[in-house]
Amino acid sequence: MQLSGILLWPLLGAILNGTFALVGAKRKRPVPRLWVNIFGVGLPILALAWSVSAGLPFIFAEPEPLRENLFSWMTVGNFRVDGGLLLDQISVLMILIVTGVGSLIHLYSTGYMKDDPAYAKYFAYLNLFLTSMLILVLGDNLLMMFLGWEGVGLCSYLLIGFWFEDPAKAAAGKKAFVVNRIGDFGFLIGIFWVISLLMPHVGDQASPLNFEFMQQNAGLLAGSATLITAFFFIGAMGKSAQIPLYVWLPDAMAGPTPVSALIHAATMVTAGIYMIARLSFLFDLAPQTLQFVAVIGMVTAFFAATIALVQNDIKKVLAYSTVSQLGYMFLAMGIGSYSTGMFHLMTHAFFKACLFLGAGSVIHAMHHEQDIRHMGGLRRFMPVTAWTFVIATLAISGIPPFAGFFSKDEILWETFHRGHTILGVLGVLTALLTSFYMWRLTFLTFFGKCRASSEAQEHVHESPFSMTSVLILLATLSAVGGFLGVPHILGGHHYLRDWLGLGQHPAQDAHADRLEMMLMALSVGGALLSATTAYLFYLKKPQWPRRLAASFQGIYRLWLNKYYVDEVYDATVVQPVKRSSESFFYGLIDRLLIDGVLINGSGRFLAFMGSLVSRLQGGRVNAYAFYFLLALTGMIVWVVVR
Amino acid sequence: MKPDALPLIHTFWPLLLIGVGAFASLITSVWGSVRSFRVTGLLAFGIFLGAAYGFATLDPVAHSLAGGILRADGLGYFLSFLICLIGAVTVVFSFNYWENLSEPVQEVLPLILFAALGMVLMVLTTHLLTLVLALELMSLSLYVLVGSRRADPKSSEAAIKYFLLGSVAAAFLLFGISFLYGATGQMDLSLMGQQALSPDKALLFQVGVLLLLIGFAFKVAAVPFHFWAPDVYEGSPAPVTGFMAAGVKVAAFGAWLRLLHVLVSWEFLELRTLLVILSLLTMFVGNLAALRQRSLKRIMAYSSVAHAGYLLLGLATLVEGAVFLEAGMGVILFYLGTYGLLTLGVFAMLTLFSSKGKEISKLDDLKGLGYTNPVFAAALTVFLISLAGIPPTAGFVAKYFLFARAIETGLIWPAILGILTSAVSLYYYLGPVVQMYFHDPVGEKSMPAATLGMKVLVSFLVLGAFYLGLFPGKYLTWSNGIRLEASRSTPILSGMPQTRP
Repeated sequence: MQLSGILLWPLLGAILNGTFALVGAKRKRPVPRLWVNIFGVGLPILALAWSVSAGLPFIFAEPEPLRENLFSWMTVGNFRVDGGLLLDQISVLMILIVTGVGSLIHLYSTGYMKDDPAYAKYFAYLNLFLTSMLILVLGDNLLMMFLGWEGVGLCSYLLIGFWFEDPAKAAAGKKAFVVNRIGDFGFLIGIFWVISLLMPHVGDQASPLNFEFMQQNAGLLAGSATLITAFFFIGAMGKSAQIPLYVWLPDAMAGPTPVSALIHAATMVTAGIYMIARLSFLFDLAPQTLQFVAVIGMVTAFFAATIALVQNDIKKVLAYSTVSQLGYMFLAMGIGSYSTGMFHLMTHAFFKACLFLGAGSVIHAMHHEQDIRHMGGLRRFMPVTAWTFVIATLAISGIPPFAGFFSKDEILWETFHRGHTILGVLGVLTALLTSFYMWRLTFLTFFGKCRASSEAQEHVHESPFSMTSVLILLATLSAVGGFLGVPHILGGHHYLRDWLGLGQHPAQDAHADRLEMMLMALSVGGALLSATTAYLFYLKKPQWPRRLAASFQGIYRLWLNKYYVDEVYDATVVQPVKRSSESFFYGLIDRLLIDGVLINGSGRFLAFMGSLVSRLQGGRVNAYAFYFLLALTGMIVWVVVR
Repeated sequence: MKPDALPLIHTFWPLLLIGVGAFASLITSVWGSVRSFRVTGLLAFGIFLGAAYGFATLDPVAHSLAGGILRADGLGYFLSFLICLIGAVTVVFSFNYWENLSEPVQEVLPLILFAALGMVLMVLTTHLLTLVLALELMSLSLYVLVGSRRADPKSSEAAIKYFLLGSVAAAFLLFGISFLYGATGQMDLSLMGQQALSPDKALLFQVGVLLLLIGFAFKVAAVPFHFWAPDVYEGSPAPVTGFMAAGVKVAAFGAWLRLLHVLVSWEFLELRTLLVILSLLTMFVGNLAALRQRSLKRIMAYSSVAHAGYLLLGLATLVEGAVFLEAGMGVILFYLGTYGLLTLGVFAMLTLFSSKGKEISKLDDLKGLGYTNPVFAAALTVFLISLAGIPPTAGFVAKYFLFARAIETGLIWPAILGILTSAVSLYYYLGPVVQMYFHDPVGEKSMPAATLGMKVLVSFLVLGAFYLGLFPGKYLTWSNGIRLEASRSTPILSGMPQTRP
């Protein structure tokens, strides 16, 4: 109960709020918001309390992993999967992030979604998401993880398309779902592969998909580890928005902003990172896959950062920033520094949630205006939002002592230290870009002169306490969250790494220390330089960026249009698939062969046979008696002749 | 009292109860008023439940009376139990159907009791003479019941047809029995089995067996002896059709089981081949002919034919050379119970639909019922899809066990063909469902109020359909434990108080 309670509370919330939504729709009068708040926010907070109480022993002591078997899911012959939960260090970290940030965002939503007619439905979805995410991180086997994986995918789809009356938003939801299917397919193949390799070796009670069983028998998987992990990584590419499957995430910004913060920044998109951390014993056996993961991660980080430089939609900038930061995490995973990746996952959850919610606060105040060209100087109207946003920006751009500095620097250092120089150089470059686009966003939104219409300016207001309090909490976390992993040379102690105990870490020597100092100086200096440039560009000399854009037309357009990736996908994948579906698969196979020949053909044949048989049924008794006699004669002849 | 009267009462009291009750109901229904109809109905209902309880709790002792004229064994008790339940359900139907008339047809209830008495006797005997008498008692009562809607010429037509063809079948049966007697000099099946057969009488014997089998094939509506079924099912009042479809099938298959048990010992009969051929014919014709029907009653008639085909396949699995695989009977018994339950369910709906003496069973009449009468439509849907064999309902489990058994015993191709025809059956079972849910209601639909008993009954039947589908274990264990010969160790309902002498 200790473990299942964590996910049952939000599930109860989803059921209750779903009922409220249905009842409200039936009675044409929504259920009072207070009820929805009590259950929709109260139960996630209860889940948080549950998580803390389950996690505390892990933080202050080192107990055995906690296991709980909910039910026997399926048993077919030797194959067996349980609905089991597992709590160890990784999942403690994850459930604390999920329920912690999740509860805050639920709270924030009570302000943000206040006037939405589908209030109860929104909370039902959000609670359901929380449940699924908790299943994902608590499941003790691959299938439970997959259940959560699909559950969060479903909720993501439902929430992106929450305002489905707008066809563009509905299409964004659909896109997210379809792109994720590609990744899920890879994940499934990985699962099947594991089953096929481990099935001959399971005993009576073991499940081939159980993580602990897999770890004990990792040797059996070693031969195919490269391909298996590659398939798992395809799943991660989809869920965590990496090249080439990242295209859904920027579109996913169509959903309500708290959703973007919770699902598309802090929790769901990090599922791929969690998966690699959970299966690190398997990825350790596949150095080629790891190399691949690192390269994909780094390229994604860089590539997304360049796009973010020129976007004008406040949420789009943050979306590409998220893709970019996820790339960092995959870089960390790929070089084998799993705990660093988890560290960055945590700090990113704090500051990116804060940024998104800050953006939400702005959008809320500006009546759904999202273009930063029409903002500016908002600091005066909404000081809390502005300063928390600045703190989060300091964190993401890597300025000490804010959280992002520690985690990002650790990634860069580990990358160099493990000898991936090219990736490291790209990483530093990306850090500079990150600092630039984030400060550009901050300056354009909150500083300088206000470019909104005077009418709009009159309505701008600070958000209610339910929203600002959450911003303050998250800003605090963004400020101090990094102290969990202070590097050795700064006289600190890396609590998180020691506690997680994931992967191998190279020894710390004088050379490494020098390298680390140098990197720190470089990245902090670079970040400050970028910030200054952004300051000059967007506050002091606004004509500069315009001139720059004019003289580098080509690359500016390329970035503004996101490298035309969507267009390329549309031309090379979407349209061909559509066309072949219409003409070949639908027209020929489905309509003609399946419908025409198989379905209607067999139907017509059977109907014909039926009419033949019915013809004997003429209604005349003497005919019937005659048939009796015929049958009897036939039978007797058979008996005699035989 | 004569010395062996006591064990007679102990062993056969439920049977006597039905017999006495049948005569008593004649007396109570003499007044011809609505009240007397009610009293008779309560009496009949009580008798059926009491007898069912008796058959379920009695310990099968294999008492055989006067050379097998009556025989008390596990199979007989089990089937009698089913028959009594079917009878009880039919009584509730009849209440709903006839009570609303200004002048209820009084003789209906006594006739149901007499027919049930015939059925019970049929499954409680191995003596051919008793068998014929029982069969005729059942048949004659049914002929009258079929024609009990006197104002409706269709009802009379059905009764005449049933009577004429039934007489032909009875003639075959009697001929068969006389041939068998001629060949063996015995009237009791259990004694006949111990008889050595002189070779010159083999042909006589074989033809006798064929005639006997045809007699029962007629009763269960096996092809090509099924022609009466659609016309009779359509013409008779809905409660009677339900009673006929469920009850006669149980009784006739019970008799068939007994015959097979004895006849397998003569290997030259090739009963297995014969049964498989009959079964395939029946499955195909039943399922195919049902496709074109536009009346739910006719659909149910062909459905009854089709299910007889599946049951015949079940019978074929019991014959293995000269051995009768008694353990396989459980599958057939399970199937019989399930089929009875579901068929009665459909006819409960038809009864509700056809009250006030007006029969309505055209598919077009069901249009839009899913919206005007959601509960009715939902229940009918459950019964129909269960008959089609869709999980998680009883029909699926029954078919699954039956076909699985067929495959186990090597009847792979017949099983595959059977499953294919079962797939075809989905079309006509879903036809009414499509009418109810995918068409707009036409005109004013007034569903006559159902009596409380009817509501309770339908709820029970729906629950039963799901219960047997989800938790078949208990009932299956019970039916699997049924044996033909004495099985003193297993009383039918374990845990029940046993009325043992």
